[in-house]
Amino acid sequence: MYSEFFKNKSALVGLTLGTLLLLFVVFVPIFSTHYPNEQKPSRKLLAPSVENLLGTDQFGRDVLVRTAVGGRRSLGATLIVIGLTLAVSILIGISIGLVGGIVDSFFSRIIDILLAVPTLVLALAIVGVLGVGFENLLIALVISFLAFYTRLVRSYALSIKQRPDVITARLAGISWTRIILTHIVPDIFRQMLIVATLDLGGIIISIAGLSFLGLGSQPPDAEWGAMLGEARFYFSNAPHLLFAPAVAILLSIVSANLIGNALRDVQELE
Amino acid sequence: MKKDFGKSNTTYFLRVIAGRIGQAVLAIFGVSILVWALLPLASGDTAERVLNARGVENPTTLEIEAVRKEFGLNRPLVVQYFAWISKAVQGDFSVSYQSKRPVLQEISERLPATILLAAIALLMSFVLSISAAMISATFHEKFPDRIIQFLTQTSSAVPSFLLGLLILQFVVVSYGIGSVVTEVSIAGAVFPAFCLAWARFGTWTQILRANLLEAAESRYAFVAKARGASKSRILWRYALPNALLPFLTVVGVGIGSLLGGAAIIETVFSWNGIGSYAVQAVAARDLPVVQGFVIFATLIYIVSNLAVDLIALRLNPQMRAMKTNANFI
Repeated sequence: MYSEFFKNKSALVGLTLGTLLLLFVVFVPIFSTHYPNEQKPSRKLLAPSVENLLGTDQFGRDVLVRTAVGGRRSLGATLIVIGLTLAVSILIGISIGLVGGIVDSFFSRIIDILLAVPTLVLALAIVGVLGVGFENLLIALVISFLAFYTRLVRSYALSIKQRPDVITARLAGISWTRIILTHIVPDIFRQMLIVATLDLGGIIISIAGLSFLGLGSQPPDAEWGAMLGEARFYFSNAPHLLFAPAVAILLSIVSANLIGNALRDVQELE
Repeated sequence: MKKDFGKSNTTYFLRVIAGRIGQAVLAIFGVSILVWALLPLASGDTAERVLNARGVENPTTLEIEAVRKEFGLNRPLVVQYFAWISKAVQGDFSVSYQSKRPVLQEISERLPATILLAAIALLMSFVLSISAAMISATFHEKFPDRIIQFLTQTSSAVPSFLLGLLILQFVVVSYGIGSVVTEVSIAGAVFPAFCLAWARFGTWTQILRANLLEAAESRYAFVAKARGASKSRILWRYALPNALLPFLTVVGVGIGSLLGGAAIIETVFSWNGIGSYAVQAVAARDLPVVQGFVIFATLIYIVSNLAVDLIALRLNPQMRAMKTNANFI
C-alpha cells in the first residue's frame, strides 16, 4: 500500500506542499528578527518591504512571522482535533461494536441524536455553552465530529467480527484482547486514517471560520482565521493583510485534499 | 387492483412520515438535554454571565441575587431543565439575556431572512452543479470537463468565508456593486447565497458527474443508443433522472452544512438572519438564544431531510414497487 502511495502523483505534490508549509511554520519564527505579538505603532499597515517581507498589520506587527506562528496554531489544532476524534471514536466504536446489546443501543441512540444536528451548528452551540476560546472550540469540534466517526468505526468493527481470520483466531483460542490489538485496531485505524485525511480540509476550514468569527483563537494570538477576522476592516487600505493568511489556508487545504485523495485512490486499487 | 396499489403506497408514506416525525421529536429532546448537560462544564457563574451579557462588567452581590431569582438559578439543574422544556414545548423559549426579549420572537423575526438566503443558495447550488455536471458528462475527458474538474477542486480548497471576503474586497468595495451591509432582499442575497452555493458546488458536481457517467455506461443507455438516440438525448432523458436520485441524499446532508455555513456567511455579509444572530449570542454566551438556535436549526434540518427522502421515494419506481411487494407479504 505504501509503495503505491508514494508513486501516486497527487500524493507527492500534496506531501511536498505539506512539508514546505510545516517547514515554513516551524522555522520562520525561529529565524525571524520580529516577534509575533510585538506592536510598533509607528509602522502600521505597511506594504511588503525588505524589513517586513509580507508587510505589517493594523498594530504594526510583522505579517510574515504572524502567519507562521498562526500556522502553528491552525495546523497544530487541526492535528489535535483529528487525533482526538480518531482516538476516542476508535475506542468507543470498537467497544460498543464488540460488546453489543444494551451498551451498543444506548450509545447508538446518543450518536443518532448528535447526528441529527448539523456539525457546525453543534460546534457553535458547544462553544456557546462553554464560552469563547481556542480550547473550547477544539473540544466543540471533537464532539461534533465524534458521532460520525464512532458510527463508522462501529460498523467496521461489526463487519470485522464476522471476518474469517477473526473467527479462526477465536477458534484457535486467542483472547479477544489480542485479536482486538492485532486484527481489529490496525485495520480500522487504516480505514479511518483515510476518512480523517479527507476531512482535514473541512476541519481547517471550521477552525479558521469560527476563529474568523471571533469564537476561537483570541487576540493577540495569531491564527489564520482570526488574522483575517481582525484585519477585515483594513483590507481596502492594506490588501496584503488578506493575502498571507488566505494563501496559507488555501495551500494547507489543497495539500490535505491531495494526500487524502491519493490515499483513497490507493485503497480503492487494492 | 390498481387502486390497491395506490392505497398501500399512501399508507406506506404515512407510516414513513409518522416514524420520522417520532425520530425528529426524540432527536430534538435529546439535543436539548445535550445542551443542558454541558452547562456544569461551563466556567463561571450563570448569573454573572447573564449580567456580563447585559453589559454589567462587575456585578454586585445584590444584582447577582436578583438575576438568580429572575431566572430561578438557585434550583437544581434538572429542575431548571424541566421548567425550561415544559415551557419550550409550548413555544416559550425563555428570554434573551442580552435584550430581555422572548427568544422565539427574536428568532422568528430573523428566520425569513435565513430561509430566503438558504433557498436562493440551494437553488444556485442545484443550477450550478447540475449544469456543470451535464457539461462535464457531455464533454467527458475533454477541455470543458477538465475546467470543471479544476473548478470543483478549487471549490473544496477555498472556504466560503474567504470567498465572501474576496467578493466584498474586489467586487463590492472596488467596483461598488452591491453593498457591504447587505439588505434582506433577493438582490442582496445574490453574493452571500453564491458563497454558500460555492461550498456545495464542488462535492455536488463531482458526485453528480460520477453518477451521470455511470448511468451513461449502463445497459439502458446502451439500448437507447442502439435505437438511435443522440448523445444529448441519452444524457438528458435517461442518465440525468437516474443520476439525480442518489444525488438527492447528498442534497439532504448538504442542507445541514448550509445551515452551519449560513452562520459564518451571514456574519461576513452582515445579513440579519438567525445565523449571524446566533454568532452574536455565542460570543456573548446568551444561552437561551443559543438553545433556541440549535433547536430551530435541527428542526429545519430534519424537516428538509424528511422532505428530500419523501421526494426520493416518490421519484423512485423501484423503491415503490419493492415496498408495495413487501406490504403484500
